[in-house]
Amino acid sequence: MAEYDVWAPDYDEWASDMTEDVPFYVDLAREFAGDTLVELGVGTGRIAIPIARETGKRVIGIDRSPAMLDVGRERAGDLPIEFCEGDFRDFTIEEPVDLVICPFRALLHAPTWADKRRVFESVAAALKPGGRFAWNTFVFSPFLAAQNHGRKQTRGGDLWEVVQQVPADNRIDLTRGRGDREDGMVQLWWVTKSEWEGLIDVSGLEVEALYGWFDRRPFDDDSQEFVWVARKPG
Amino acid sequence: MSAYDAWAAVYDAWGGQNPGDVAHYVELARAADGPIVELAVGTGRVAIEVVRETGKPVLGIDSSPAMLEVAREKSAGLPLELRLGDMRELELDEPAALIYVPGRSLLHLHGWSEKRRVFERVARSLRPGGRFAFNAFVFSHAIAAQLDGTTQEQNGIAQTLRYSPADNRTEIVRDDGATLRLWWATKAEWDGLLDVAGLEIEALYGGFEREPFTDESLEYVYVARKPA
Repeated sequence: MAEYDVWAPDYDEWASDMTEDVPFYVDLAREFAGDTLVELGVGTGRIAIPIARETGKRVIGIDRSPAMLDVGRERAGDLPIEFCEGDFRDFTIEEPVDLVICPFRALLHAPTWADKRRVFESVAAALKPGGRFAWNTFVFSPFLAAQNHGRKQTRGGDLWEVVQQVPADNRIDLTRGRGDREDGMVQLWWVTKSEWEGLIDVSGLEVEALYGWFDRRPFDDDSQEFVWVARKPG
Repeated sequence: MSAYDAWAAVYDAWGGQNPGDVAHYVELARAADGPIVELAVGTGRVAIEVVRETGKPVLGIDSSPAMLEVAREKSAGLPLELRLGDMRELELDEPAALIYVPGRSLLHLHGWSEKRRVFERVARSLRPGGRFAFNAFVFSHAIAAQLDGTTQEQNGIAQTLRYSPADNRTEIVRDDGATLRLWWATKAEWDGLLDVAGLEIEALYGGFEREPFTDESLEYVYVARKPA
């Protein structure tokens, strides 16, 4: 989908301050016996490439942005990664897998409960019994939100971002650009702990662990990231 | 004894901050063709007005004996039946035409499973076509950032507010130690709870004037319906 295409050339630069998630997802990919996993929101392959390189497993990567997938395809070279254009609300795969991951807060691009429910139900259908679904998203901080609401922030070089908070729709509107150029808007819908529990519940998955960060520390009142591992009953 | 008992004596002065909500719930009660139930009836702030304005009997349920005691005194002679009970265990002898929860009381429920349980019990306790109405605040980052850690005095009672975003929780700690906890919920979560309970959204208003819900709204005012 075109709205994310505009980010493709700069995406790795945007994501450059997030690195600690890579070993977490690589470990999950290593922990199961099968040979295939699915990554939702694979983007430019920031996570899929290290997984394929370090575990030798095949990654089916799904993303809505053809431009992102092109970057990923080029970077992945001969690694066993399939970059597929698709919508994570209704993706299907031929054979159920042991692991589905959705790193880097990509689930926050789903606007409504109905969208999110469809994603979770698609994931549950794509998993083998005993298979895992792992994802992470930020904890919405009112304190950060109050600081950054309406402000233009630079994020390295001449990249910039303006944040608008829309609490009634639990939404954050991010307008991004470089220098004098405005590149467009991306919207994120933040999710509470309770709503994640609900999505796991309706899709028939079980919570295996909720961590507060990628080093698998326990989630507590001070946590700033939800790092979930759910499991389809075996 | 419940955690809310400590708040009974002051609740009306302290909690009556939803201007206009009474008229909204009175109107829903007027339209109801059958039994009417208020959950978390508390001291009867809304229920008493509903009974007075419509002349219809109301069943009010609350988990706090002290709150109900206040309500009983205030409603003497009116057809307001008060029952001690937990909304998570809701069971009615006769299906209701209207179940409503004013005053943001659903925010006292913690976690998805408690909320799901209440929504399912409500759905089961409604007649086909019966309505479920409630309101809750939109969680405002601006208010939270402004009030976190501050102590305010309201009607002579000092209370400190704390926000814990990881658990979507607000705590109101009174200077005598009594604590109220609220768990805020997003629009998506309310939609999800109605979805799993098999209720249909009839309307989502942005306030008690029944204005449309928009990006600027500060209150969720839901009216849902059990399919006929």
